[in-house]
Amino acid sequence: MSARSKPARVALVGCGAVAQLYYRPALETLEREGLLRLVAAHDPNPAALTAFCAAFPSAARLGSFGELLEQRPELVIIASPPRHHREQTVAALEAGADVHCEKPLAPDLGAGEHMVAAAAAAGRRLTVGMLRRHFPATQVIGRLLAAGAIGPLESVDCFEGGPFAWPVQSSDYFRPGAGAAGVLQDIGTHCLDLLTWWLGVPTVIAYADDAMGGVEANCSVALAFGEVPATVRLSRDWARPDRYVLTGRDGWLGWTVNETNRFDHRVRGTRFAGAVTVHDVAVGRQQPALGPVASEFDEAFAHQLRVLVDPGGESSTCIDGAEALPTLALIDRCYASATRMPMPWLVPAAEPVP
Amino acid sequence: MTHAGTAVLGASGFIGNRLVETLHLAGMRVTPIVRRWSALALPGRFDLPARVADAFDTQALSAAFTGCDTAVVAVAGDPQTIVGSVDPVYRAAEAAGLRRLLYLSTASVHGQAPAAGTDETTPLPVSQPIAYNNAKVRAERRLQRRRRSGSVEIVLLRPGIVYGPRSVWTGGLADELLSGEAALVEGGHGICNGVYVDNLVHAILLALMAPGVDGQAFLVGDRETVTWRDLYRPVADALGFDVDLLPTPPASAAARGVPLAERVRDSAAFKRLPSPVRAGLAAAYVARSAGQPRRAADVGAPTVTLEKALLHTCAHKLPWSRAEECLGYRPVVSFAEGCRRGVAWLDFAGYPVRGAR
Repeated sequence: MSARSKPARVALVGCGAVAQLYYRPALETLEREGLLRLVAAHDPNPAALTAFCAAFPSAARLGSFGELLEQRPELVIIASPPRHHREQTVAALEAGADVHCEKPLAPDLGAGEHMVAAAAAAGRRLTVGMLRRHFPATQVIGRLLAAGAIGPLESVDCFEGGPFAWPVQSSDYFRPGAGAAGVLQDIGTHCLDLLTWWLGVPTVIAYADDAMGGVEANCSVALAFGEVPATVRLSRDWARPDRYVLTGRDGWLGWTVNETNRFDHRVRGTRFAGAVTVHDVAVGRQQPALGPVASEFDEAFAHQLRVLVDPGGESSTCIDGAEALPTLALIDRCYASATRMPMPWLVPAAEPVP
Repeated sequence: MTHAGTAVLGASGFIGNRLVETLHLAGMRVTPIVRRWSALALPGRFDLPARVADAFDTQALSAAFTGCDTAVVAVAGDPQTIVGSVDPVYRAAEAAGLRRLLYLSTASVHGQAPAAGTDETTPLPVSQPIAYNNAKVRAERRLQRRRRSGSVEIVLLRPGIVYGPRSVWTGGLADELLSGEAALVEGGHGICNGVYVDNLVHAILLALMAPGVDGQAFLVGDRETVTWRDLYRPVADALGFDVDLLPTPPASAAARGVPLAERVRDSAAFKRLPSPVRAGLAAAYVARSAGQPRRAADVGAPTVTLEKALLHTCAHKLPWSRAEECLGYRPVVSFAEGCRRGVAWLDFAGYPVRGAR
């Protein structure tokens, strides 16, 4: 499968939830394929480090980031909290490694620009884990939009979220000044990146959230893609159907969040809509035909790493760090213009009911 | 009102969350306590010294109570959690030197359709057909036993149907309507012993400070006497449903067997799932029915649980006169205003509220 003469030497920084839940199985898959070998991992939490490395017995378990770089990895995966991304990325690039950084690339635009510049200066590759761009469904939706499949776009409406369940290990995730990440910076990074990838960079019309000294659990973003209005509602609070709907003059496209190979398509003029399942295209047939159903979540996650280490892979699907900058800029603009979401039920109790 | 601060155990639940909001926004000291770090999403909107402790972990709870003089126990869970957490919580309160524990019980200790004349003095049976009721009765008794040999005062509140923002009786009802599962048993003409969440919070604040109420239990409710149809109507109106077209199955339908969705929801395996996972599955179930025409007459067989059948045929308005007399409790939000605030929250939460935007 691989054209490599020997597996790429890969190191990982940050053995928390995203590493344990997603990077670990992806790295195991790619190790089995002979594409890479995890040579080292680092986390300041010994328990997290031990748990992650259980699947990689030959990997060095290192208590400091400096020791990790001494292992001379070819690729460093940065899966630490975002407040560490800039410092660790720049150090890894300067040590001669390529870097794949988990989203968000950086806590703010300035840090992100610094990281992109550092990659250019070092002549190394910096990529970012905007996983959803690797989903077959989102790729097809993007092409359909570009081809005008639903006619001129008229509106975009996105809801995403539900009670927060990510297995964070400390209160830092919610503490301003300790690297807190509100819902906009968290799942909003995915949402805004996807919309920007599909439709171009929007204008921020309005942003509101429910932070009251801490970090937001709910937010609402009004955007404009040219003349096309878009609303984005994100929540860590209450579940509603996770769904993006893009409506055009001639129909609509609907996507349920994290569906890697399914979406809905309605063509105006009929009373029908289709539930589309995305397949690979069959190869070696005389007539166009469907191959197997396109990849699921785990495979999409592995794919983003495979293209980094497989010389025969689709390197064009790598997502350069610079591509994350427009979303960082949007998030900065949102926070800079933040207002309070209307919450009329918060008013103090009145006089007793007569 | 409170001097050294109040700990809220179960701060990520809808009542605990509203209590934290109220105390903090009023400038009072409050310490949210949750079971796991991820449950800090709502308390995290404020820059508060939140803490993590399991309701079974006396040592962790004691540390979490440090610096407080009162605590409100708003722990949700299965019957084992409800009963089993009482002792560890009380021991922790003693170790931390708390002055008073306020335990959030439920009016359901009297059953979902209490007999005429029921009040706080009515004996509580533990052979009720709904396990939750029995668990709450046992928890109350266990707490009273603890108090007899313990140093921390206790006050128990028994709210009825607590509705409002983030309540299952508001958001959950909206989900039922949208999924075609809503129904008013026997027309929903039974009395709904409801209490708007802010009225309950008001009662909590009074009960934390009132003198001479150690060991007592208090029913808490709204001032108005309303029916279940009255509770459903504003939510239905907001979402574009005609409450008069909702199915009105007989109470006897509850005996015909439990629908699949209900069986799944009530199964031990489902209850063992983390609450966010349960919420996600429920949302997915609701989403499956999204886009269906909103004509109640078109919906299939409604879900009629025993609990719902009893609630919707209740004929007794539970009194809160003891709370008025001993705590000085009087509802501060009217039923109409509570419903209006609930609908405002539905719009905030992303429900398709008519004419909201």
